[in-house]
Amino acid sequence: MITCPSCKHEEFVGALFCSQCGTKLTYQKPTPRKTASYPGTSQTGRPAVTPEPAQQTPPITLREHILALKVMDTGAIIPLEGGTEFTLGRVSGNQPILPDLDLTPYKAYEGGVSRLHATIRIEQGTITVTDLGSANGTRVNGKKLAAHASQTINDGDILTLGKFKVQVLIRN
Amino acid sequence: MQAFDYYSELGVTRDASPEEIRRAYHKAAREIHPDVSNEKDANEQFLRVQAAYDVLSDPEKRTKYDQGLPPQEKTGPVIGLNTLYSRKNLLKINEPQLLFVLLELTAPPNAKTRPSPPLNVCLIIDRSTSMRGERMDTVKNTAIDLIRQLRPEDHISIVTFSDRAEVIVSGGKVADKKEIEKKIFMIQTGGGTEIFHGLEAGFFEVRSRFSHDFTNQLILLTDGRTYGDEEACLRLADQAASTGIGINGLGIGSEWNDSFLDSLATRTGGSSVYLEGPHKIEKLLRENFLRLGQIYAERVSFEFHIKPGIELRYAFRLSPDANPIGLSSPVRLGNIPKEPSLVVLLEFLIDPIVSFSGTLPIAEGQISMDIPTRAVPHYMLSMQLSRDVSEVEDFQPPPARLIQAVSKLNLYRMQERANQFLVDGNPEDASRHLHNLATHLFSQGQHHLARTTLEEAENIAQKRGLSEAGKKSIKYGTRSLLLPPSLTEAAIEPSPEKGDR
Repeated sequence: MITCPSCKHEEFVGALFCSQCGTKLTYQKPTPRKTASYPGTSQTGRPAVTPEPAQQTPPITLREHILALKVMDTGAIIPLEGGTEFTLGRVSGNQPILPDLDLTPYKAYEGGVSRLHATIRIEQGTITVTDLGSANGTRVNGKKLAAHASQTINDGDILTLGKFKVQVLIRN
Repeated sequence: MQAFDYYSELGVTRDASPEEIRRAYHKAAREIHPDVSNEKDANEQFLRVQAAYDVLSDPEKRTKYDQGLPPQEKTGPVIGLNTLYSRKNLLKINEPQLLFVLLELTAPPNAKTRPSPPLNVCLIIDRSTSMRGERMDTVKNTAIDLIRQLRPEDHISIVTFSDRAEVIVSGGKVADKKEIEKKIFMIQTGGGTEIFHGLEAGFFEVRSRFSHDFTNQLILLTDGRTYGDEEACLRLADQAASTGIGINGLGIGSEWNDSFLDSLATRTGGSSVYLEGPHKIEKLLRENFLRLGQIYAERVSFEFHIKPGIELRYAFRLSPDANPIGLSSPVRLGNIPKEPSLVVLLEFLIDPIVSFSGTLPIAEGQISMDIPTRAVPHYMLSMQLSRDVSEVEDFQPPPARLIQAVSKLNLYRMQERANQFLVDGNPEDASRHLHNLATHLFSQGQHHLARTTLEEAENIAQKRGLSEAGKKSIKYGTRSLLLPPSLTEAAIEPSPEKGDR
């Protein structure tokens, strides 16, 4: 038997995914991922916004808004573009589904960010954040969201993922 | 017809083994023997097959015949077969192990330009009281619209049922469309739901006109549960399968029995879908109909021997539609459309391998099908699934297509497991599985489905129950994730040129 690294469920040898939590099991050799490696401190500080694997719908280009996140600790600006939906989290280990935005370079692990922490969505002119059942929760201006609950966010709002703080910047 | 060659006469490839040739001959002989066939040229057909067999069954004559054949005269393969395995080899270990196999069967490119085989289809419509109003109105309008698109060579029959069945339109070629429309228009609702009556009447209709040159299918549209006649329905489905007739179920609303409709369809290689409400009827009925009109090979069936100690544990069709398929030989795989490919995923569980080395046969047999556009429709491919057994795993990342298929199927199966936990009286695990499923759905951007899943996880946690509508939404929602994205939308739009026929 092999043990799921995520939930410790036992699976048959040859299983590709954990039947209980859905984690991918056979990453014995690291295969190249789509996630662009973060260019460190050099360059422009552009984050690794990756296209979602096996994307269902083509991304709709965002016209109405320019959306960005400002990391409170360092002041780095992370633009969110090329889609209407951005899953925030971090990439680590054998992860079945990768976030659109990998926050690892901003010390996300130390900040208690879950691998799939929250989603920011742009929908008919409003922008919402949804917590994805993260371990340490998501707060909007200090107010905690229930797991999987959505809330509208506005320019200047502070999002806290675990202890990791970003400010929402929206320009119409 | 162009000068035929003996191989295509028997429906085998040029490299067919003597055994394949023998089987093809017996099969063809049974079907076109002048005593049983009522086609005009049965005698002539039979003699041609006989002549082909006389030559091909004799190694000497066959070699001579082969030498006389023009090289590379064939237009290409009859069917493209691609087999992908999840592992390069099996391990010699003292515990069970899993192997996934993805089979892709593809029609040749020239199939697209050929006309589709005529339809021999019966629409079986539930006219019980619960269908009254918008449901029945939409069904009528869609049915009338579909009838208008039929070609002159198509056969359609329509059966309605409640506590009993009525044949509204008895097949035969579509002569007077106006008359048929009038009859559809006059369907009245009322009464209970006894599926068996409807199914049986529809089966007799299609069987009386059954032909290997046709697409022979039943489409069952229902919104209710049938009581007491499930067993009879399933027996009828088996009979339909062995006759070569597929059953496709469309369930409207949340009241009908999904696992029953699934097993009806699965036994025949057909499909079953969920229509949340009347607004989905038109789209999905049309889609079902269009799919039947685009078939290249029908009655694709995988007949195999499996060694003791190896079990086919799970089988699912991923394209052209997402539906479970049977687990015991012969497995009815469904139909191969002109495009895309027919894709099935098989999961084998293999008992501990203690004292075996070499190549382990997993499943051996053949895939047989009917290709109506060929002179002799019956066609067979031999199919050997096997893996080498060794002490260490020669690890290679499985093919991306296979991983993606298993990954999406895993979401569907998490939902199945949650339901099983609920049946077994374990709501905690059921709720946890649904929570995990919701997280994956959220992160894949399936927000609507994820919320439904989450609501049901909460329902289970609080009321210890699952709503029927939620259960079906999750089941068929995760199932539809399996479809290639292009299919979910593109196939549904009515093609403009169809209406002009």
